[in-house]
Amino acid sequence: MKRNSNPRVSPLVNVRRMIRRALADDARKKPADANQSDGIPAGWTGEIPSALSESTAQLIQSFDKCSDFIIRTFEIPALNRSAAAAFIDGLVKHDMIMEAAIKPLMIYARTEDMRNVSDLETVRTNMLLSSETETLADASTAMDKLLHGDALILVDGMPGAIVMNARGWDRRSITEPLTETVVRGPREGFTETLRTNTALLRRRIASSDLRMESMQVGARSHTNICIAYMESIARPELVEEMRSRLRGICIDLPTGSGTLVDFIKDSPYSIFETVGYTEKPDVVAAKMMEGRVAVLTDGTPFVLTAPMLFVENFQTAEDYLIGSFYATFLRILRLISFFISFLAPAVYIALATFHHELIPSTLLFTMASSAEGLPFPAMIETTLMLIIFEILKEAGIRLPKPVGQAVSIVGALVMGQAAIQAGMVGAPVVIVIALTGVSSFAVPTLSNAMSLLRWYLLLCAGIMGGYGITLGLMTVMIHLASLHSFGVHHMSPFAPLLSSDFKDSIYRAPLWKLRDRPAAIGAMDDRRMQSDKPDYR
Amino acid sequence: MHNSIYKYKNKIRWVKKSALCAMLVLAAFALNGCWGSMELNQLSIVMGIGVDAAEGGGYEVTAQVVRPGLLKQSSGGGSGSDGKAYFNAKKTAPSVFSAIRNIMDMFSRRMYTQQCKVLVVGEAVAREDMTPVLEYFMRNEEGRMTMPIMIAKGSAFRIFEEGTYLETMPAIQLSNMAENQKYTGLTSYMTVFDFLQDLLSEAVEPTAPIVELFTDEQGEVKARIGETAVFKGERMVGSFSADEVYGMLLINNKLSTGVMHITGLGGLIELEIIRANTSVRPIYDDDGFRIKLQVRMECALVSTTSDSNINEVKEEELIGRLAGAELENRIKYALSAAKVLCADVFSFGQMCYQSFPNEYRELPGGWELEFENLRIDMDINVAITATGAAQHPIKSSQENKDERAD
Repeated sequence: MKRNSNPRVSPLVNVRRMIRRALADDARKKPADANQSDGIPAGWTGEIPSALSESTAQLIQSFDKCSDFIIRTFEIPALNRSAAAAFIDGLVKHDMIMEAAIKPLMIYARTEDMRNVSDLETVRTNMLLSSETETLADASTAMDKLLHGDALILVDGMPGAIVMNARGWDRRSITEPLTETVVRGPREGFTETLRTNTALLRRRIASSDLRMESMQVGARSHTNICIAYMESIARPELVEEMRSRLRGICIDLPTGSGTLVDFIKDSPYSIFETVGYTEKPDVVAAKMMEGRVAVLTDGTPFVLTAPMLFVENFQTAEDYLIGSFYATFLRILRLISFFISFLAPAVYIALATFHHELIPSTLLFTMASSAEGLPFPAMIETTLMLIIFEILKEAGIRLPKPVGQAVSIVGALVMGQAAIQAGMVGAPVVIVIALTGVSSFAVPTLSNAMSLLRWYLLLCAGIMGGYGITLGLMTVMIHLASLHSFGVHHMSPFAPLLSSDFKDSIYRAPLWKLRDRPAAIGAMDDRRMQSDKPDYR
Repeated sequence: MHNSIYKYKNKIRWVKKSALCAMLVLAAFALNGCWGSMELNQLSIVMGIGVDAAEGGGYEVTAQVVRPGLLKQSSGGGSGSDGKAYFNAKKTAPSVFSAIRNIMDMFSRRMYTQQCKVLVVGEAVAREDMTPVLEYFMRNEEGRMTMPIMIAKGSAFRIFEEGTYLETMPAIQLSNMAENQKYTGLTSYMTVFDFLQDLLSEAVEPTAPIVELFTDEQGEVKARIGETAVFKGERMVGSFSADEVYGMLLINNKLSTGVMHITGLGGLIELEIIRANTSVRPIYDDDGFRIKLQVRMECALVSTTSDSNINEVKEEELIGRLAGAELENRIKYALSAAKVLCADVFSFGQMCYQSFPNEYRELPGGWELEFENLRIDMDINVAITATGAAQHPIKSSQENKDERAD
């Protein structure tokens, strides 16, 4: 494989990639020999002994004071041996262990010719009714499986253990996601269970080309994650990059996919997200079709996609389900609200304190008459109102839903109305802040970054007016243009300019025109469709 | 081992990069020219500036200032001096600049002139010298060059004192009035910038609308547009009547719309100008300079009291010819008025100079003498392109009906 087969990957990224890989190697080596020294308990290691008494003793010792661990011993009359089933209560379906393992072993398997069977493999293949079974010799692997919801079956006198899938815990059903709601699109959302999520993906892409590599992250939690990609589309070096970055994560417990982002994103100190996330399987499937790699994490309904371009903030699932003209209109609308959301307070300050000549006279009169008798300068006024807005937003999100409504009523009516009537703040400021707040919800994935950017630009405008905004915007632009996401320029197709990718950026061309996959991401098979015109033409 | 080397290199790169960024940002701080913020409630917004001659030299400057607190209450111009949304601050000082600056000695807020809508110059100042007034607006970034300039018949202060019909304050009314003259053809529309340009170029003389006071039917004194002031250099030398201005605007190709009355064909015919295009071509021959004036005009018939059938081509041509004659008259008015004042408001001199620079320089008596004897060839063509929805004048249709009834 040629190393730099994608010409758009900058040489700088190559260096960075090498460093990362080297670091990842280090990190990988560490856990193996650092298990004891880091205080991570070793658990059950080594070969699983053949004597049942020994193995159960080891197991019980490993699960000392674990009240949810259950080990059940029974006899196998056909073999004339005793056996044990070990599992974690709550992670398994008891019926399943009963029906598929204990029942056949104890009752049905009574044939004479089984008497001489002495290996576990035959027991597994001939005597168990479960659809997913495996024989293992390594204790730590068996332990891991046990902890993820499999049942272990140990037979006296036979080394190793049979691992049987009996997973079944209480899980949230598939519901419509709270974020990214669509009108015409599919309503399924990911859940917290990894297997359900992979199934949701597989349901959309019925092809073995969809690869799902399993990994574990979390030194103590052993959280299952899954790297999903299209083998024939995703660049192998991209997949390898993702693998190595994920391997490099050394954390006790990833509480969600957001935890992983902090470890794998390219510019760790940037306020902008360079790894995408979504709750919708259809979005992940579509992104994989463009050559992206998805990371599913057990325990969170949010799936990561990388590389992520800046324009993805303005694209929604709905865009591809409605007419291209309306989709384009919506994208422009989102772009406008993006600018309003972080520029409106700054522009207001610049106009109200520096560039009065730019305001139409009549508007200036209105502003001046509302500024009459106000106790605070415009900058402080805006700052106060912005803080109040952020407090209301935060309070509204965290509080229980019924209380949240009360907060918004108090916030909107009492604060807004009363503050103006009492002459504490001017009406224009309230309008600007309200506009800012509403606009930021139109581009949800950027809203966190915009909240911060707003303060920065407000400060620039307060110090230097319009000139300050220009300077501030310049620095933001420079920063944005320097961002990378997994070897891809975050700002492409604008910086660097890739005119072929414009068709799905600010405007969305008709779907039959999107013949090529985005060049910025650099898919292996860059043709999405053979002809760019519908058949009937 | 190699890890640490990469880390080190990366760090150097990062430090270099951020140092460069910091330097660029710091350098950018030095680039800005205007510095300093002003809260809206610390400003007094000046909407109009009037300049009069003060007794014993110097200027009496009037600044019309908005009173934002009263804006909402009195939208109709205000009754009683206390309810008015504006205030006229007056200050006498040796120069316009010091007057505007020093108004602060009786005001709690800083004068903010960037929103200024109109500049009214008293006739006395205009007849004396315009340059000291304009100097302030040209040199200082505080005033807008795009605001209209007007000459007050009498005192500019009085113009600012009188009430308005529709607007909240006189300055806005004056400004809008001046701007709307583009559509009447009654006087010229001049911004400070245009005025300065005409003043500074050698061969063009500036003009400006005159604003005067009158008493209306209700017995209230209000301001209105009067004649047009004509300058010679920096001094006002006289004024043009409406007819003369019409001719001037026509020659200068500034007449975009307007109404024209002609009497003929047994009635009064009113035409509205749809399109007017005038081209001026200077010619130099043995007898000196000559101007070839070509006017192409399209008019719509608005109303007529004549009883002839206006839809016939012949009649249209006839009306066109009559209108042409009328235009010729007006041009002649303008020319003779300009010649009397010896003010080349048509920029003929400039055109002659541009086309024949050597000949222009060698003029024996200079352009002034040449202008007085300048010959104009006129080629006027008026086409009636629309007659509206009616075929016959109401009167004649009535007669036709009567005839039929008989």
